[in-house]
Amino acid sequence: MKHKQFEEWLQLSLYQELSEQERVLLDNHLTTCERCRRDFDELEKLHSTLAHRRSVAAQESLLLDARRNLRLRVHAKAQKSLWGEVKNVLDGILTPPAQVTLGGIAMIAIGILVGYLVFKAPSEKSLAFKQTAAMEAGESQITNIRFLDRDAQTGDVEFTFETLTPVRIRGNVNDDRIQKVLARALVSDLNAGNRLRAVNMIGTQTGQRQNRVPGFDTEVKSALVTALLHDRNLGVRKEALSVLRNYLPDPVVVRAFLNVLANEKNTGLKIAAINSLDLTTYENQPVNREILEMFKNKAQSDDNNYIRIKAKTALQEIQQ
Amino acid sequence: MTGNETELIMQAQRGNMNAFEQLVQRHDKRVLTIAAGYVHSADDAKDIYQEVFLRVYKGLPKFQYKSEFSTWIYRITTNVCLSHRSRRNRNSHTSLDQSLNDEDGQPHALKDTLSDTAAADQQTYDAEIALRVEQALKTLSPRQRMVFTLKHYEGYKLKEIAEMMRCNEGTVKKYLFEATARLRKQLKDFTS
Ligand SMILES: [Zn+2]
Repeated sequence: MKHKQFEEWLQLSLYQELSEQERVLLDNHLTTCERCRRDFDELEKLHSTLAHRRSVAAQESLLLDARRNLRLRVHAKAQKSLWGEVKNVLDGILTPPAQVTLGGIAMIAIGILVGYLVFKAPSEKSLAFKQTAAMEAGESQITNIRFLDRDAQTGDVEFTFETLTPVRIRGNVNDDRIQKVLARALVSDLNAGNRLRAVNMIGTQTGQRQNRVPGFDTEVKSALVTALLHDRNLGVRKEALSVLRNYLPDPVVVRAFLNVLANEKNTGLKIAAINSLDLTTYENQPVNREILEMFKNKAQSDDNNYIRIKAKTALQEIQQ
Repeated sequence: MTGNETELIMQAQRGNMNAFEQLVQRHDKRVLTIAAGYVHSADDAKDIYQEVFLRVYKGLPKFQYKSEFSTWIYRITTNVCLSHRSRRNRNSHTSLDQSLNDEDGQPHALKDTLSDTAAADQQTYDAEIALRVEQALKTLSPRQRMVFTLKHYEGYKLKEIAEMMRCNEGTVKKYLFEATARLRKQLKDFTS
């Protein structure tokens, strides 16, 4: 047998990838072949050299951080896909001119909705939903479409969907139902101006936050977090941050702010995030470790002078 | 695939976020470990992790149980790794690793670099070796590096690697031998 074969076997033997028979043959060969023995020594030295490489993935915090980011991104995707699905079904069942019309109506409907609330809602105490039979008038939106079946040969399709007629709402901004509508607009409206108005409106009720049942407004909070981390419009992100500040020390919000510190491009927003986190508040909370890690990281390596100094001094203060 | 996992997959396919998260948490540690072993950077590993599971999320409705769910995920992982461009390259920052290279990109002999400190500081010495190992691994082609890190650092069997990379075991061995030969050459000062 050739040396080359044995050279390969030497490597495989170090990975326990040889059969018993191959191993015996190799051992016998090694007793007689000086060259292969040297080769084996060198390989073992190579392995001990390679062992100097340190593992990056061992840290649990890296995994937790990755999970957190993923959750936010998938959430944002799920919200956005609603619009994608509407568009898909329109592509499938309507002629081009009709697509434009219906798409337009869908956007205007939310525009009106949010706009109306901005001017009317704060002064109103009652909540009244009024619907008209708009289906016949062709003003329905199609939402929550679910495809069940599709036959490419015959063109038969089967799906379910909900229709939604444009609704005028008059109500108080502290009403949870109003909040949820606004939250939905915040993450799904295509118009940045509407999203900004929605987040503003949500912000107007935070004064009464303390009296609320914990966990009651998770949907609103997660919409705000999604907006903070993923909205393309800086104004919307800023406004979301300033509303979310009222939820502190909620750990979900803390983590969102840490995420801003880690990934946000805009320095002003990062500064607002770091200034919102008072280290002494979290000393006995589970989230504390993540905060300290982020501050240490920022103190060392943030591009921005202010953020580095701020992180450093905050860390020094809690050590005293 | 356990019955429990099949149930989770079906729920996730129907849009159940909770089921999706549970699926993620069953496999994501290994995904992150594979990625980190390959790119050796926390940031890049996180990028790969995100991309892998966003692809899983998108592809899930079409997953048809033709392979094990885990195999499917690890295939996506190796694919994403192989096409990944690191943040460092994208931002064209000077790599730390280059500090040990000559202008023409040749590594210094370690003795030159460490002439004053080698005796003094074992820790520095170890760190320098680690850096040289990292440099050497970066000279491998993506496939050589993928196979080598999966085999050498993560301890996967050749057969498993072949399945993840959709090739036969012979091809995996070929990449492994090429990688080893190259690393031996690059790290000659430590092995002879
Ligand atoms: Zn021999």
